[in-house]
Amino acid sequence: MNNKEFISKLSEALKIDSDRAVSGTAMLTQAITDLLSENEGTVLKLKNFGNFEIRKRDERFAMNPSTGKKMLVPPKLTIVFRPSPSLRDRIVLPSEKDN
Amino acid sequence: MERKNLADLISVFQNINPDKKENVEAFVRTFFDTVVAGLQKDGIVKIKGFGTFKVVDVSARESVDVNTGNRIEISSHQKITFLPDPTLRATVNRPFACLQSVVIDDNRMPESSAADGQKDSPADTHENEEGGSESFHDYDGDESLVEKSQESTHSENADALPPAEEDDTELPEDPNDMACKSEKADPAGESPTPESVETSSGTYGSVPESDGLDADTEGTDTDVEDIELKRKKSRKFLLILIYFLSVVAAFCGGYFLERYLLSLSPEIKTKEYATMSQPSAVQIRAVKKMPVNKAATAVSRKAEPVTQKADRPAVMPVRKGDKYKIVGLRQIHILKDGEDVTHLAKQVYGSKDFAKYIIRYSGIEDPDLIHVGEKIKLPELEEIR
Repeated sequence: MNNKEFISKLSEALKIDSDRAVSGTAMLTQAITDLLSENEGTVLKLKNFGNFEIRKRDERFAMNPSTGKKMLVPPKLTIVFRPSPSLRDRIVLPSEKDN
Repeated sequence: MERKNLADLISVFQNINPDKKENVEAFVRTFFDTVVAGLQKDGIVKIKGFGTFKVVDVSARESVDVNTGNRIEISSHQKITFLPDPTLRATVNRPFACLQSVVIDDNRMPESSAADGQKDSPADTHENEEGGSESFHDYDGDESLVEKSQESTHSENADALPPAEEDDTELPEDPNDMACKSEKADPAGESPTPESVETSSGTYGSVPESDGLDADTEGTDTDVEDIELKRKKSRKFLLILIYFLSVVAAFCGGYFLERYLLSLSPEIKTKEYATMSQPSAVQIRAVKKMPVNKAATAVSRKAEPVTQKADRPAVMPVRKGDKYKIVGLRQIHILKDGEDVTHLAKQVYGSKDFAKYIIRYSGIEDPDLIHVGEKIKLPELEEIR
């Protein structure tokens, strides 16, 4: 399901314009980011879906194997999603479908 | 660790998107339900500006039971993954947005690169692929001095980045301190000028972001520059000091060495003095007459006649460049007032060039120091053919 399909499905379910759905998605993304950026180590726990968290990756040494150059990768923050086990139940997985 | 739930999300969302509470709540719930539906249907849901939810196959693998330690097999299964969109990644990483990867060069000293003025070509940009930089492997290296290089954190910034300056700097002790000091998201979406990249010279270069995010690194950069300059200056000063001290030490060492060598044997001393320009053989004979310094004279007397007799046989060896050979004594001439060795040579042999033979045969060390009444031995010369 690509973005178009997702927006169309969303707007269909909410009975709103696709434009509003698009803007709403953007604002929701911003809301999630704001919520998680407030304090360090905040976890957004959505029941039966999963957890969103911002984690810090420390700086590390890396090497380009082809050139052999050593690099220092700076620290960064990444958003991490941990699916809830019940999410798997909600989604009848294709492998299970076949069975 | 703070926990936020759906209610918190809804309240924050409502602040951003002012609407009826029921609409807002419905939107959020429907959003995630649609994601689930999409995963059910296609196994993949891509949301622009947010990310991609994907169902991924995990192959079976052997593992160990944690409790018993027995080998067990984890059967193949599927898992749900989320890969954030680049825009979301950038938004989340905003506090560290000014930092970028730096190439480490162990071989070069800090000041040498600046002094040489060498500038390497910008390091190969490596794209941050989804899930991290998979083209690299972690390297356990020691912290060393680094150079700056340019890295496009994501493809959107690739066009906007001019090449950054490169200086050797030291790693900060606490990487957290290197986080951009002032990062205000400019809602107008102002793109920073390339100047910000050129002026920055911190450990991590700054990256101008064209997607409306500001990054300011001036505070940290100038401090690091100053420290660097001071270190370079102090090192140069130290090198100059060491060089100067070594020169002085060499002089002192040579002086003391000579004194030590001289103190080893007195004969060497007198002989050396005998061969030196002052005092000449003539002077020593003059000294001979004086009652003072009997010891010195006695020694010199011993030395002087010996050298004279030993070094001046009747037939002297021919030296390089000699056209004549000394074959014996011709005449002993007593030096008169106003006479000179060269005058004598001209008188006796016909040319001033013969003076050197007279000097050599007479054993005169310094022809300027001969005095009236001196007995000059004139040699018999034979032409060498």
